[in-house]
Amino acid sequence: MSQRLVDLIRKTAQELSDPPGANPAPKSTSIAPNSFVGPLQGGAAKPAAPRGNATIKAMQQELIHLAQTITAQLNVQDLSSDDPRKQQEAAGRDSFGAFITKHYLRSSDVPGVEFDPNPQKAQMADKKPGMATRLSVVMDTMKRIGNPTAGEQFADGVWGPRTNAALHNAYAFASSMLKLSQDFNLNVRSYNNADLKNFQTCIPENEKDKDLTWKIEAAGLAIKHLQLIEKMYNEIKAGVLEKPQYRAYIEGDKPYLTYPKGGANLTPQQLANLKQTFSNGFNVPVGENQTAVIGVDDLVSLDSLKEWIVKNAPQQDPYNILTLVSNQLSQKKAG
Amino acid sequence: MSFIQQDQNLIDQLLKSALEFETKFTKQGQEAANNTQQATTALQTQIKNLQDQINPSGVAKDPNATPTISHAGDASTAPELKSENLEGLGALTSWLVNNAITVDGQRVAYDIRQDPKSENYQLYQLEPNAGLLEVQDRSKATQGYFVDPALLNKYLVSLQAYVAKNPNQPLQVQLTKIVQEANKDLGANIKEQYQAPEKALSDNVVLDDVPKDLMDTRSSLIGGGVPLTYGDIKDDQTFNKWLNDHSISIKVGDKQAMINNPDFDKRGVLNILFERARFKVSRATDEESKEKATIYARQVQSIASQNNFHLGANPGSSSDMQGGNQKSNQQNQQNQNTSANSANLIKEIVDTLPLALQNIDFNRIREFFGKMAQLMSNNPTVMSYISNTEQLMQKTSALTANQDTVFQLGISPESLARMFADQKTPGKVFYPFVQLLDTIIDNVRAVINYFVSQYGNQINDSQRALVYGQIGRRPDDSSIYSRNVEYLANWMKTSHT
Repeated sequence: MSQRLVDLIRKTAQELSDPPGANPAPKSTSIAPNSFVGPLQGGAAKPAAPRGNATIKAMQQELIHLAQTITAQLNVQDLSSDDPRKQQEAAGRDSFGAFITKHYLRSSDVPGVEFDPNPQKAQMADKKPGMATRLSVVMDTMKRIGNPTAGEQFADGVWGPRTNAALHNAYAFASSMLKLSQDFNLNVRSYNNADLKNFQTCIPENEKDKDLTWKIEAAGLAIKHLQLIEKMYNEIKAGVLEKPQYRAYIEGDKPYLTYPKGGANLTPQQLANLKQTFSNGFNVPVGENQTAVIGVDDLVSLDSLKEWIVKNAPQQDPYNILTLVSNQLSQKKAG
Repeated sequence: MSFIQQDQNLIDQLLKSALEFETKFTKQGQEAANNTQQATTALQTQIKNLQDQINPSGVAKDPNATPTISHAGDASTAPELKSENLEGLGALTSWLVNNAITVDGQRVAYDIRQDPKSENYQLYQLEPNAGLLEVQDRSKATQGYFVDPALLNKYLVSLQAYVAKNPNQPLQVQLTKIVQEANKDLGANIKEQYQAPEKALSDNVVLDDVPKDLMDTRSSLIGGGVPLTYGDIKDDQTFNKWLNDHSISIKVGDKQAMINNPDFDKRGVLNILFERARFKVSRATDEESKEKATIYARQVQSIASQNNFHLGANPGSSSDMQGGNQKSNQQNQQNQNTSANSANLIKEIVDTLPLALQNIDFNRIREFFGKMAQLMSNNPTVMSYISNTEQLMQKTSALTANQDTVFQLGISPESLARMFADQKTPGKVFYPFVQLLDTIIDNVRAVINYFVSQYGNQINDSQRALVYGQIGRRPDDSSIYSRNVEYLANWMKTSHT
């Protein structure tokens, strides 16, 4: 791992542990699942929207809070831990996050997006949007929605391209969590597909197509959704990601399966031992009353065996030669 | 008189004893013996690996053996497959490369910088582990691998088989996604739900001795002297070869036609073989011969379906056909009629699905079985389930005072016991009675499963939902069957009085 990446992780970890001072994320409040208003309609864009709306700001704070909750579980800063086990577990979580992103987030009907996680790349032109691949980077994208001149990572009440991308990611994330819970046979109660469909009505493909009135109304609805998505995530965290039986596999403490030793490549020590033990080689009949000796060196690979056959017994079937050697070995063992 | 040094036999025996003493009783001897033992084992393994590379299927391999998964890496390492190796198909391929994993002695994949030395390997660009590597242009990263698609399929199916035996939810979820990816990107065509392979026999196992000149299903049902082996009916080509090699003929009109005759009635031959197999199933005196006969019937069916023949619907009629186009038209018409009849039957079967939440109803089960028997009369296993279950239902009704055929679930054990004919010692009847009901619904579930297995792709989504509502998609699904089992289990918990 490069030093630059380690520094980047440390910096991210530091930022995570410091709450965004001026704009603390709100505490989620409990809302009944079916208390949504109906889907949003229409709302053609009007120019010169006023900046810094409070409802939009509250929605952004919910987006940041959701991203922080997910990032905290991923805890990728442990990749730079001095404890190898912590490193391995963080790598496992990061990889499982990538598994979720590749197989669930990407196939969402509102696909997620990744921006360059480099904190220096704050201008939209530098962000190089790419296919969602790592959950930690998707969450980084979801957090950095503020004005770039003020450091990006806080809510500014303006629904621009960053906020819109963050909403796309929140939707894709919710969609992927619903599918994941289904695959794990986990019955989540906080959120369902009908809710997700409703959430879609407040996410425009392009934020420029919508006016401020529409955005404020949509933000009010989105806040409730984001709170419930976080609740659903916590259910999945308990039922899948941090369920002890599953966690051991996800974090790499337990392999799914182990194949036994006994690869075909003999170690130099084994080879030396074999040569010493079977220094006389094995007699193989190669014609009427004729035998040839095949040694350990001739048995180290298929190529060496073929060479021996060409020189000594071109008419013989290699499989049968090996069977003859194997039989002699068995006799030696029995003897 | 002779001296010791002149007796070679005695000297040999003394030397052998000394060596044995050395081996058994001295530390050095024991160490040497251990080394020899280890070397012998290592060389045997090496020989086995080489043999697998030469002949992946093995000379005398058990036909039902699963592929051997091993590795060609360092002999002292034991490769571990972890969650991170199933992040995606590329991650798995990378792991297969790094650990030199083999299937039947053949490497599944090689790195792009390696030479696979075989045309079976194709170059694929796959997405590796995401890791922390940042791509400059942020497009999807890919890496090249040489992969043998057939071996990769076998490896993935071996993992499915492993999960089927060792349930593990995270592995199941990750593996299913990898299989989907392999199907999409590599055209792997692997079933997402694992299906255990059908049991096979060795090619030389004789399944029947068949008459050389066949007549019809009735007169050619028994007898004959031409051996028919499993290998002969492995597929359509081997079957044709058997027909040709043994000059098998079938009566067409008033003459005997062989395979090289345009009027040759292949369907008629298959029908006769199928009836012979069924006859053997019904007359089998031990499990082994019954199993062999069932496999015989299955293989004949398989060849029939490769030829688009439907067996059993109108046995023997083919020998009355007149040949040529007329025969072919009649055949097509018959196939179309059969297909339309099957579609109607399938619909009727879904309409009469037998399990209910509130009761176990023998009348409904019988109605369902009646339709299943029409649709799957050529499946000996299903027919056997149906006939066994009928016997069990009769036995169950006989235990009740009124020959009951509907049993309310969820009622108290006392209410259930009041239905019994034996009111003096109802406790003696109670458990066998509940066990009978349990076996009956198990059998019903099995029959529904066979229906899904064979006709699942011919029903629409809402019909499929109804079917799975009965038995569940997965063993742990909440289904009507599982609710029935719960009710029966509650009765079984009733304390004996």
